[in-house]
Formats: sequence, structure tokens, C-alpha cells
Amino acid sequence: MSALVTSRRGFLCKVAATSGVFMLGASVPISRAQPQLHEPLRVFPYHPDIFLKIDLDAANDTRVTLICKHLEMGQGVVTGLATLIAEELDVAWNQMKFELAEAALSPRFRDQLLPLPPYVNLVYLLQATGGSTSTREAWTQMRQVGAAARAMLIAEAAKQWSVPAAEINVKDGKIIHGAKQQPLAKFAKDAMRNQLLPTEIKLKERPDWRLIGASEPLRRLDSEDKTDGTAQFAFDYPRRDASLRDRVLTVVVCRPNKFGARVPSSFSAGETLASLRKKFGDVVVDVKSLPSGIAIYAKHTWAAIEARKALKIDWDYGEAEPRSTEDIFEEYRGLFAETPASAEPGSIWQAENVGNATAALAGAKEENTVHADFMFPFLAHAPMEPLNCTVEPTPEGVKISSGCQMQTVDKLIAARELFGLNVNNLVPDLHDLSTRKWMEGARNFFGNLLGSAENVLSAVQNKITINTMLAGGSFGRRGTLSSDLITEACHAAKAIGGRTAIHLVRTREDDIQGGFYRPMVMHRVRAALTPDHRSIAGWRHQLASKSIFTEVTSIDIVDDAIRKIYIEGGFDKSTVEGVKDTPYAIENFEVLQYKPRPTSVPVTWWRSVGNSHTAFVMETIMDELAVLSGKGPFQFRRDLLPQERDRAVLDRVYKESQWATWPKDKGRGHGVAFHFSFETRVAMVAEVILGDPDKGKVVKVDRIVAAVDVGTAVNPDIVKAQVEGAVGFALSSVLRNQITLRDGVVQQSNFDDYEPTRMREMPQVEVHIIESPENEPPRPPTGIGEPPVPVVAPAIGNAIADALVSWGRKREWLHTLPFNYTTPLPEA
Amino acid sequence: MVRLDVNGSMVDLDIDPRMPLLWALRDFLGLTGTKYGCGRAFCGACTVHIDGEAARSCSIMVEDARKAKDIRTIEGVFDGELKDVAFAVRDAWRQRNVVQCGYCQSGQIMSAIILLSKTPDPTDLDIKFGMEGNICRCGTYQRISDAIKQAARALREKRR
Repeated sequence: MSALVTSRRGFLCKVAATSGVFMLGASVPISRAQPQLHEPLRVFPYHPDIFLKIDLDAANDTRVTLICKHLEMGQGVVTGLATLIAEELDVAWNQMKFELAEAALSPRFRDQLLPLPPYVNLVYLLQATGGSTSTREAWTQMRQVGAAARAMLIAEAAKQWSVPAAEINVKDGKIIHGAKQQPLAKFAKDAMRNQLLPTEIKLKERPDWRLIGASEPLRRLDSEDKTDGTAQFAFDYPRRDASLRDRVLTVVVCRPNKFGARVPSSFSAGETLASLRKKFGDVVVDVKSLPSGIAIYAKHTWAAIEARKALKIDWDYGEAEPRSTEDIFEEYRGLFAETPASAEPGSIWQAENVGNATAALAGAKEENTVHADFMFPFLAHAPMEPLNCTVEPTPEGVKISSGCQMQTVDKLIAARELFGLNVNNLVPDLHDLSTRKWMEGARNFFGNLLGSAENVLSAVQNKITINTMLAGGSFGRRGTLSSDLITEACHAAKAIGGRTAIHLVRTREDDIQGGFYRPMVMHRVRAALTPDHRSIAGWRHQLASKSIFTEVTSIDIVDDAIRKIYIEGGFDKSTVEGVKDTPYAIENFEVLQYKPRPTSVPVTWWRSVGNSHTAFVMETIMDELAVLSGKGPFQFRRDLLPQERDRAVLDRVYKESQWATWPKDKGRGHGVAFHFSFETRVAMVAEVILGDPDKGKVVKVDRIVAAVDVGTAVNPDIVKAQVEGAVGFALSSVLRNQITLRDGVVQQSNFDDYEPTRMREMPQVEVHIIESPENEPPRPPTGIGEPPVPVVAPAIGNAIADALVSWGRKREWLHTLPFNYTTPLPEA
Repeated sequence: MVRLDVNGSMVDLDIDPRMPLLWALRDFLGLTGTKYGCGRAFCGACTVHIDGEAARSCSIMVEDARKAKDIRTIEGVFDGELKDVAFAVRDAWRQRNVVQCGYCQSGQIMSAIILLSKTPDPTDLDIKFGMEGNICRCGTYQRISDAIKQAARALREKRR
């Protein structure tokens, strides 16, 4: 059994006594598009036992458990954050374990008062995993945690051994003084009880790193359980142990086949239950009408799925989306005829306006101009584990077990939906606190806690346990700002009285047809070269998309976070990310974002968010201009990139792909793309083998060579895995994946018509990581979960354009995703 | 009552014989290593071994599974006839850091064990065809392929 090491000393009083000496500055920038977060955010070194546990029973060995605030959904975050702690604590890698943290809303945590609720993401100030922020936001904090714990353990050992602390060393989880050595665990309990947090936390210098950036890959911490069937995902939780298995009810919800339709007023749950009972017997336990559809409660999963098939519902289509995909694109196309001068106020946002793009383009020669419309379909995330959630009653309230990606939102929503608590005004505007007078704000915050808010906050804290489980993928789907899954699960639990454990299950069909897609997007671009072909004379860029901040729950801290980070002038800034903040030097640059009319098709972020479409547009247009310029794709891009770090990534991929020496074989094509997102630079070269274009659309993506600049790669092997995986993830959306509507009905339903990449389609992926220069302080790590995704489509598209030439065709770029190409079966 | 031979033990289940084996394993026997991914045999997350063949448990009725002499899930494969291959595959998966989210990996591993039991020295093409039925949304295919080759090498060395 592992005992939790808990401090008995309050944290706040220590801060007050030493007047802020614990405050360490740490800049957590987010992206070029979100400049307000470049401002320094002050990060307190938390008491280490919030983030790590030392196993006290392991008398002769040391076992340290990372308590990970982030959701592990495959991106390797538990390995990454454990690396940072193990590095500073000086434990061996095989001494590390992990568990996922319980969601906490209150800064009063295990007798300690903290500057922020303990597990918040320091970029978003909510507990949330996303935006490729995890490693960069926790980079300083986790190392501080490890270093603080190490210092406290040394201080305790120094006291017990009566030797100077400076003579004590820590290695492989042992405290060492001369010939004497003891495992950390021997001192852990006393250290955390007796020792104060160190007044100064010194982090290791780069030459002393053993684990960070190690070229020998560290074993992933989640690898063992995921290779012998013991890893517990949310789907497994209610059925693994007999105690819950025998009483939990599976719930599936029959939802309307058009978005915005409703359960008809004539619907009778009682009659429906009676008829299902007649057909299936008492395995069907109950039927209830929920806001989202009709819930069927059954004793096991298969019964619930089968019973749902028997339902025939005449939905109320009054407010349903009636259109087809083509109708929506037609609407977008119509919007582009408007200019800010002609349009209704508020319907167009001029996201960028440098120089005079219209005049520059009017003056450009046609042969120096490129223009195109680009269309992007709805995309489903399709994580391998379909969304599901268990809600079970506990003596205090409820326990919610799911692959929770935004635990703060999930917890507040559960409090509101299950217990009717008012979850607004609970937490001060942390975004203001982060940029204004921190201490003053923090004191007010603690002061507020003594008032009425504390009662609600502790009610939320006590009643609801968020049990974050391993997630079988997410790609953005588990982090919706409406917590659509948790909301529906709470509704289902409440509808049958709240005293029965329920497991809400979404089938693959529910997943593919359930909305919360990457939105449909249209771009129109007109760009021209200067007469000397050396640079870009003008670039006018129009975009239309539904805002991904439409389906958002009304909780003030969520509203605040979104308003401050993602909204400008009433428009969703994520739509233009990757365009507005392009690293290319473009004179006379105008970006216009158009607001389509409302649709009830729910949308959300999809791995790489706006970049999932903007990178494709930017990089195919850049390729067209590069060819027009006669400079070639590398030189043309290089000349327009003022930042050395950007050029270095292109140069690396040029070299590693041996671009200069490729043979010009028939059918073979090469394409390059570069993109900056989530602070990370990625360049890719794709090599494709294109079938004879007269015989259909057939392509094999043979090889991808990638170069990435992630600042410091904490775990190079995981960085590589994320790039490899991003290629596999993105490829199916390049080749074929799309969600289409016909008269409002989604046309796809499962992996036959929304088929992810399969093994035979997977190209060979080579990943090269740019080293953080040795003559500078190490660069902070940047994101890697998302940044490679957007680069895949333009690299392949540009390679196909190149390959067409080898077949004697005119070079032609593909402007609409998916390309609708198939991959040939491999030949022996 | 349905009697099944699962992981070397006979179990009696009071369930509808038309129930897919997947749900019998998960909801009644607590064998949750076998995953639901699509319910239609497109993805392979539910792969189990039935008498030495890879089978999609989401699409096999318990009624038919009853005839099997040996049903193995990932929980039981390390004790079964193919345990040497199973350990080699598992170890290669760990050494190569194959997994990401891991949800498909039980199925991938079960398919890889059968592939190697039938084709001890697989070519790239053998691997592509042998693993065609298993989807990994995280895109870990390159490492899966490498790990299969590594496991084949390890087994070869062991045989020597």
C-alpha cells in the first residue's frame, strides 16, 4: 500500500511570512495568434506531494508515482511529465509510476491553500488537456516539484544523519552520504512533515540532464498495462469488477437522425418500455426521454444496443438542419461576394489588413496570379474507444468515470446537472489574475473562499468525484466545451432517480453520426507575385466557417477563458490561425472571415483545430507561387521566412530527404510543406507514387520525411511517435474521410464509410528533431500532439501535383479535401 | 445456459445465445482486455483466438463460439499454447514503445500472435496483409510492423 505523504503546514502562511519569495517567473507563451498569453504567468512551486507520491512500503527500493494532471490519451503525457520529475528528483526511470489526478476546483487542497486549484493547466487556468500545451505548461512546474521534493528529502536526511546538506547526494532514488545510503522512502514521511518548501529552487543545468532529451528511448509508463490487456479504459471500468458489473445499467440513447430535431411531444416512455419488454424481456430496465434523445436502460450492453434498433421514432424536425453538404458550400460561396463595406455590420471580420491587398492584386499581371477556392468537409474524430461514461452513486454524491479531458468543466457541469448547484461566480477570473497584480488578486480569492462561494465550492468538491480514466484516443473529441458526454450521462443518471449506477455508451455509429465535427470550411485565395518574382505582391484570403465556440456551456469561467483566448470581434480566431499569423512575410495582406448563418450541426476542435485546413491552403498556394516564381519550393519559401528557426527546419528536411538528388521517375512526385502551430515548426517532404491519371485516382504515399523544432524534446522517442502517428491519423482525411449531409442526415456511419488509415497505406515516416542550440539556454518545449497533423495534407497534395508532371500532364494542385484517391493493394 | 471454454476454463453463462462473444466476455466475464471498436468486424479491436485462429468477437455469436475447443483472450494468451509467441510479441511491443492510446493494441497483439504462429518469418507484405483487419487511429503502424519483425527475430533466436 502506498501512503500519501501530506504536509501539515499551510502554504499561504509561508507565502505571507516571506512576502512572495516563492514566486518564480515563468513565461508560458501559447502561439503567435494569442499574444496576451505571452505575458508572464507567475507559477508557484506547489508543495510536491500534490504531484508525486513516494511509496513508503517499498523499504529497499524507491517507487515514485507521478500524479498526472493531464489526460493520457496516447500522446505520452504521463511519460513526459514523469521524466521531468524523475530528472530533478534523481530517481531511476524504472522507479517511476503514474496515476491520473482527481479533478480539483478549490485551492484548498489537503489542508493546503494554493495559489490556484492544484491541477489547472497554466495556459488555460482550467484543468484541461489540449492545445498541445501539456509539456510546455508543466515544463517548469514539474521540474520544480521534483527539485523541491529532492531538497526537502536532503534537508531531512541531513538533520537525521547530522551532516551538512551540501554533502548529501541523491542517485537512483537513494540518499547518499559517503558510504551511507538509504532509499528516499525512508525520509519521505518526515521530510514532508518537517521540512519547509525550499526558498529557492534551483533546477539542473542541461549538461546534468540524464533523462530529458535522452537519445536512448525511455520506456513509456503506460506501455506495460496496454500490452497485456490490463490497462483500464473508461469502457472497461464498469464491467471489470463483479461489484459494479452486476448492478450497472448500460444506457444507449436513440438520438434524432437530424441535428436540431427533438423527441416528439407525443412520445410515451411507458408505452415504449412496455413494447421493448414484450420483445426483449426484463433485460430492458427502463426508457426515459432526455433532452438529447430517448435513453434505453438495459442490464448489459448488447441488450441496450439491440433494444434501440427496435425503436421507430417520428422525430420533431421543426428546428432541424435540413440542408445537404452542397447547400452549405453554396451558402459559403455566396458570402464571399460581400465585402466589409457592403455587408451587414458584424457579418465579416477583417482579421488582418496590411497594406492594400485589393489594389496590389488589381495591379498584378494575370500570369503572376494564382487563385482558388478550397473546400473542407466536416470530419469526425473517431477515437478507437467510443465515448462513454459511468455515473455511480456514492455515499457523498456521485463518482463519474470517463476519459475526461476538461475536468474542471466536467465537474462543474455535473454539479449543475445533477444537483442544481449554481456554478457561476465560484472562481475569480483567473485570466485577469494572471496578468494583473497577482498577490492582491490571490488574497481576494482566498478571502472570497471564506464567504458564500466556499460553501458551494466545497459542495461541488465533496459531492462529485471525477475519476479520469485512460482514454482510447480523443483528437479533441473528449474536450468539448459543452461536455456533451458528461451532460448526457448526468441526465441519464438523474432521469432514473440517481441511485442506480449507469454506463452511458456511444456506439461507433453514434460516434460517427453524433456531430461535434471539425467544421466545414471554405477558403478563397487570390495571391500574386511581384513583377520580379522575388516576393509576394498581394494576398487576399477569405474564409467561412461555423465558430467552434458555438456549442459552449454557460459557465462563467468557461465563457471567460474562451472570450479571452479565442474570440475577437465576435469571431472565432481559431478559424484563421495559421493564416493571420503566418510566418511568411507578405506585403499587402488581407484576411476576411465570414459568418455563415446558424446551423445546428455541432462542431468542435479536431486535432490541430484551424490549422487542419489553413495549413493546406497556405502551403498549396505557396507551392503554386513557388513554381510560378521559378525559384523552386524551398528557395521561394526560405526567402519569405524572416526567422532563422523557420528556415532551419526547411533546410533540415531538404537535406534529410535528399531533395536535390531525386530521380525523376514516371509516377513519382515530391512535395514539401512547412507550418508553424502550437509554437512548433514542422516541415515535411512527401514522396508519392501516382498511378496513371488516365486510369483513375490512385496514389501510394511512399515516404514522409519530417523535421521538427519543438524547442527541447523532453522525450525524443515520443516526439517521433507523435509525428509518425500524426501522419497515420491525417492520411485518411487526405485520401477519403468526410462527413457529408443529405437533407440533414449524416451519410456515414462506421469504419466502412469513414475508414481510418490502414497498415498497408502507411508510408515510411522518418523524423528529424532540431536540437536546441548548445550555446544558448535550453529552449522550452513546445507542442507536438497536433503540429505535425496539418503539414501532411499539403505535403502530399504538392507531391501529387509534382507527380502529374511526370505523367506528361500539366501541373495541377488539388484544392479540396479529401482528394478521393485510393491506395493500390501492395504487390508481392 | 451456454457453456464456453475461455482461457482454459469452462464457464456457464445464462445469456441469449445470439449475443456476440465480445459482450459475453466483457459484460459477463469481466474480460475487458478485448475491446469494442465498431461492432461490425471492421476494426479488429475485439480480436480473440478461437482454436488457433484470429476471430472478431463482435461478430461471432456465443451460440457458434460454444463449439470452440479453446477461446483465448489477451488475458489468457500468455498461458495458452501460443504463449511463447505471445511473450515475444508483448516484449517487442514494449521495447519498441509501440502503444499510444493503446485501445486497439490488445487486438493488434492478438492478430500479430496468429500471424507469427503461422508465418514465423513474415515479409513486409505478410505483415501488411496479416494486420490489414486491425485499425489503429493513433497511426502506430510503423512501430507495429517493426515490433512484429523484432518478435520474429527473438523467436528465431530462441529456436536455435
